[in-house]
Amino acid sequence: MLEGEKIVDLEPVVGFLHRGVEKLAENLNYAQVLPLTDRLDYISAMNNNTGYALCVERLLGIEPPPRGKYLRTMVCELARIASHLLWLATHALDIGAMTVFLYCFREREIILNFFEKICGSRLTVSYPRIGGVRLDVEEEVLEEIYNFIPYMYAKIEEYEGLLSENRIWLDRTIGIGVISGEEALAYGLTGPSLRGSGIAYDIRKHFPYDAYPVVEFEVPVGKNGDTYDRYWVRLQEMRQSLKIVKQCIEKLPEGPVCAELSPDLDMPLFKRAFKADAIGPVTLIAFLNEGMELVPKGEIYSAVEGAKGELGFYLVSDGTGRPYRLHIRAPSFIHISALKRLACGHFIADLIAIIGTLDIVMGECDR
Amino acid sequence: MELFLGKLDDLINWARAGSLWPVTFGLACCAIEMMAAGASRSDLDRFGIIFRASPRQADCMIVAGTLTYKMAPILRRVYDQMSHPRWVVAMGSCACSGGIFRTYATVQGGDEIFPVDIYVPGCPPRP
Repeated sequence: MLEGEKIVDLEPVVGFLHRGVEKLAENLNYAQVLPLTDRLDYISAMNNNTGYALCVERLLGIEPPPRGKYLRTMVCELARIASHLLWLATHALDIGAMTVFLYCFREREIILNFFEKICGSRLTVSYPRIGGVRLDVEEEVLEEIYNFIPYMYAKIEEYEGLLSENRIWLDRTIGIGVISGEEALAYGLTGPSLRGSGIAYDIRKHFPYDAYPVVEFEVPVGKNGDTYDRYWVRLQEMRQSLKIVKQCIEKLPEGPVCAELSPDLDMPLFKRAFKADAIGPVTLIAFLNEGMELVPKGEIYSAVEGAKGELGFYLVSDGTGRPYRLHIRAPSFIHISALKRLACGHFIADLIAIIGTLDIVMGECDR
Repeated sequence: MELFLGKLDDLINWARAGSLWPVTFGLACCAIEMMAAGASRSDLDRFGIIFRASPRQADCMIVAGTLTYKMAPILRRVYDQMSHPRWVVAMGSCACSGGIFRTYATVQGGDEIFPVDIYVPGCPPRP
């Protein structure tokens, strides 16, 4: 509802990209669900894969080997940079800065090239698997990524030079979409949207997974909780991500990349059950007929720090090879609920900036 | 006169082929690759392809991404608003055939809603 050009009331309508991922997951086995998670937050697919894989690992009690953990952390951070670059590109394009769009996509293409060299796909990667990663990374690629880090630092400087003191940018972002820390918590905002309001909540720090306890990084925090602070937080996060990538490559241990017991695509032939010698010489059919559990029963919630915020996977297992229920706590869906609070009282033109600053991906929001 | 019309026809076809203006209909993941195709590295502008935001100014429509039943009427309306001659490119497996999403919510192929001229498979197709 409008009053002149001022927004008085607003209601986001979601569901235009509802694809039924959660329902689809109930008919697939645990390893087959993984490619679906690519298509949730398709901008940083690595984080989604890792989140899901981590959840299943915790359910099955699998521990990935150290090299797998480091590689996963590395690709996650690269994906975070790619995601923030795309966010900056589109956000700046919406506000009216065309050059930043072209610059950001230039660097993003380099990161996507790395992904292509690592796993053969640019966007929907399915590289982190349950119990590690799919394949080892070649030394040359690691070296290329290592050489890319100083280049990327210089490029972030360039974006800051273009935007941070640009008067148009400041006018369009400072004081737009202000939300205080308590209110942001109440709305359930996570990730850079929450950290822009001054609350240093980061799952990588608070509930560390993979190689995050080993690497050093800081959590940048904003002060005012407006669009500019969120922009600043994301730029700093890109720098921290580069720091993590650098440490990961330096500390990368030797060894296997995937756990031995990780389930492959034919989940009923779950290696773990046979390797444990728990069932003796019986065949698979007999094994299934006896109604033995392929996976532990129970439910589990595990979250990772996606590029957008807290990305949680809630799994209910009934002992068969398929999830009984999979719920995805998508940060975009929760962020979009705060849109009304953020946008009321602003002009229509600012709504674009506010939608941009929340970093909403509809694939993840509607699932 | 006929010669003139023939030449004019050639000229118009040349102009159309040289400056194909697509209306973007980015729905999901493929939209990101479509943007990447238009951006720095694989620069679509050099072929005279400039993305338009309005269907009235466009020659063809690129449907990029998963089409759901909730979105289908809107897509059909955009298609009807385009002026002749018009073409439709279904970009990605989802727009071609529903892709991996065989569910209650997903249209199993864009050709259920509108005529498709070019199918581009891939999940997502790279630029």
